[in-house]
Amino acid sequence: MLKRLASPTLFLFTLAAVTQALEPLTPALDPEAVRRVEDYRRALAMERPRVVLLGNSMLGHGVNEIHFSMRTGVHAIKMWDGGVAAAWNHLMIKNVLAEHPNRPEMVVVFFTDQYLTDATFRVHGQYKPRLDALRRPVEPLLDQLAYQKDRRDALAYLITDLWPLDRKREIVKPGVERFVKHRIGRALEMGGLGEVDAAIDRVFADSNLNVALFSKAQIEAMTAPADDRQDFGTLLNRSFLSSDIAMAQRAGIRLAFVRIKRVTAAEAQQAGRAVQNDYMSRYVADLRTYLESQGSLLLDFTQDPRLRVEHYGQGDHLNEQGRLLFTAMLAEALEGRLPEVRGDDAPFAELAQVREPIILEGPFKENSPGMWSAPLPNWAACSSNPRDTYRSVLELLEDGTPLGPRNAFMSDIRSHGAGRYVHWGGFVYFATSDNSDPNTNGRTYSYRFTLPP
Amino acid sequence: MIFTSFVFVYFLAAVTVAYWALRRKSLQNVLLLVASYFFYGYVHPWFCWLIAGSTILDYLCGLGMARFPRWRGSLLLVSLTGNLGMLGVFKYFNFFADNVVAAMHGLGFEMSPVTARLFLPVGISFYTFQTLSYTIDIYRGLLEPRRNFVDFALFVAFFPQLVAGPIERATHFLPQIETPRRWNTDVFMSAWPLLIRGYLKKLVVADNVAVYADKVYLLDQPTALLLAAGTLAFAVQILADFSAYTDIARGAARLLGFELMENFDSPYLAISPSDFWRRWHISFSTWIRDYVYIPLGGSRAGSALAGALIVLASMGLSGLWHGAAWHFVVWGLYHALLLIIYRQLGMSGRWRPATRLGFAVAWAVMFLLTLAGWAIFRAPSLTWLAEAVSQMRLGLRGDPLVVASTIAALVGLYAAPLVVSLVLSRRASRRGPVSAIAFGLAVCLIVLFAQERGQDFIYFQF
Repeated sequence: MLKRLASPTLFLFTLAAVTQALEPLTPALDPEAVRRVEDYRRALAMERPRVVLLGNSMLGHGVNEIHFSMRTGVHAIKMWDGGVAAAWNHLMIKNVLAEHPNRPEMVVVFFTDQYLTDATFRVHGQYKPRLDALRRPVEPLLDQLAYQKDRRDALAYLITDLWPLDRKREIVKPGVERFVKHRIGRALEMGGLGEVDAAIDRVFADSNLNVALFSKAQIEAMTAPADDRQDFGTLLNRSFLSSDIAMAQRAGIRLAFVRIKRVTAAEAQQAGRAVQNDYMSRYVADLRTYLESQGSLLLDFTQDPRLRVEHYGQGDHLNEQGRLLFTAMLAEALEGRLPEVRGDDAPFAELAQVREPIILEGPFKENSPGMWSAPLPNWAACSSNPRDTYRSVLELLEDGTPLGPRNAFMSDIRSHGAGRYVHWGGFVYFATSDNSDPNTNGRTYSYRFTLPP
Repeated sequence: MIFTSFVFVYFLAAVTVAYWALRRKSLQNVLLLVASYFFYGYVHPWFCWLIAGSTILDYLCGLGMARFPRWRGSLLLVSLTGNLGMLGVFKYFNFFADNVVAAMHGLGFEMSPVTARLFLPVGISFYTFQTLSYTIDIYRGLLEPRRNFVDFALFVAFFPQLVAGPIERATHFLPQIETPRRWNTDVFMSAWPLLIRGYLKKLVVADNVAVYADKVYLLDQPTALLLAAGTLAFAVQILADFSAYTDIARGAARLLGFELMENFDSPYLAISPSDFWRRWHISFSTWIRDYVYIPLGGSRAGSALAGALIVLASMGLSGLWHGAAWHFVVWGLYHALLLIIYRQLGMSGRWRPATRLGFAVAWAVMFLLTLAGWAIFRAPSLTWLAEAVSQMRLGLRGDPLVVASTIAALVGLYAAPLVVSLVLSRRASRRGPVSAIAFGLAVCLIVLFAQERGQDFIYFQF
């Protein structure tokens, strides 16, 4: 009898031992993600925005919230994180916006393609810590839709949620694969993990793939509705959308949705190709009908010809020119749909009072070699900040000529200089156009604000 | 219902408990038959009508052959026509129609394409061959027809091996169905290592390497090195995927007291094509041998040319069985060619090199030839493969080198459980402490490395 029990005992002991051995790998909450959420809660408390723009880095790079607020007359702030999608939006609405005492009157949700109704998109890997920073201990809808766990499915739930080993999957598997890639990169003397990942991205770039070779399942997943999985009603049932709308309605928040244009759409337009196929057109029409039936609004910019390829910087991110243009387009499209303008509350009205460039008084402090700073305590509220590094509309001039690029990273100002600057907190940090000392080069430095026309 | 879903785990648990709660064999068989039809029709209930039709046809043909011996030949023809006709309609109709239109176009006649939107029922190739073995064996006098319809229907539809084999022979499996099964703790416990090994192979090995194979074979123009790495990934994927299904099928069958045949015997250790086919998809290759190759003349062929033609016919059919596309046929013919060449060189049958070095060289050559075969098999089409090869760059530097090396390293990493499993199966006692620890680690690996969104088993499409 004992002999018969030995193997099962040893088997169970192994499971326990591995679980215990990997226990130290339990990920703590990502401090950066937690800080970002805290920033958003603080912004609601301190700035009391009436409109919140919610989305990923396409929103982050695509809209200037100061310009938007000045154009519309309604104070709006952006809340975004890189690459996030519907699940993050859902948790932000549920756990940050709807429950905050200073909740906004309106939330504008930005999305691309059909990801508004894809609950499983970007919920694993690097995106999971961002969701973990937002989630409550019990999130049945998130678990069911994003992670496809069903608490009624006891075995699945036992394995995937209660057994601590499952929570190591996010660390162990990517960690092992990263280790292998790193070793390959080193062995081939071409750098580390980043270079290997970049090489993989280049080799398997969309332009190198033959769409004709895609399997039926792959094509269906991307394009046509061959069965009910792609049907809008089914997609809706598997998404957070109806829940988000109901939750927002209960909290007295109006929702609007913005479908952003990707650079590929701009390229297709300029090449005379169709921006989207029939399926996506039907999807947008169905989505619009549904949102209108729920009292929400859909703005679809994917076909808008005003956004052209030259308005994009890196990938789908808009550049400075594109950002200003899209901000204007968005403000125009939302005209009459936003909360009413209050006469006594013109956001950033103080900026409009600056009509001529203001001389920046020296002496300038050298924070690190090549990077100088000057205090601007009166304009701290409209500077860029960790929540939005593209926020400031301050323009720095050297002898009356604009320097740039603005909103540069401090590391770039230090290493490259050449006129880069950033308006951060109560200071402007900058490098002169020829990296000379602004205290001794005899030039005059001034600033003004680029205001919407 | 697929083996990798939690629904299947509940299903198997419920069936196993209910099955052993029933004492009488006849009730157990009824339960298994109902469960098998539920399993098969879980997603598409209309599949059940097809398998029921095939079952009734062969049941009646079998009885008819015993009752009317003079009509044995005609009844076998009815069985062959019915089963192969159904397979032909669902699996090969569009392939045949497309090729007729293309051939007529080549001859200068224009025909409008005739294609039907037919949905291939999973497992039809497997159970068609299984049920055909029944009527053919009765025709040959090797088997008595069965009067108990439930027993025969269970033989055709037994759920663990219904969708992707092993293709059981009536002579081996029907007696197990007809014999009362007694609870045996040792047999029951011996199922678990098979189940764990199957899930490890599928969820950790096959699904993870599939990502890389799929990517390479989507490239417009892969370099030689990338194609080699992608093919290596596919070689690991198809072995892990298919043998995983067999392991899970055998494990599930053992929980119910049945023993299914082994389908794989370390095929990548083969040293010649005939050795490979003794190790790869054994239930299918022996079926082709017994019901196609030998009846056509087989090794008794009068001349080398006749022998070669029989091998070409058998292997071409074997390729076509895998899918209605020319690259599967060419894959079969490629293996036929290897068998013929090795036979001409005197390296067929049970040939073994005399020295260790010779053995190593024979193994390496056969492994490379097998990989080349998988490239034909996995290629989206022959045109793609021809273009890829004719315009191929080596890609021995830059991004292709980095990516191919990364794929090869990751494939090696994910293939490690296959190697460990092979070593353990040969060295360690199945119920010893090493095996217990190894299976504990295997479960941990499944939890830690299983793909979030796994793929269907490859052989479902056949």
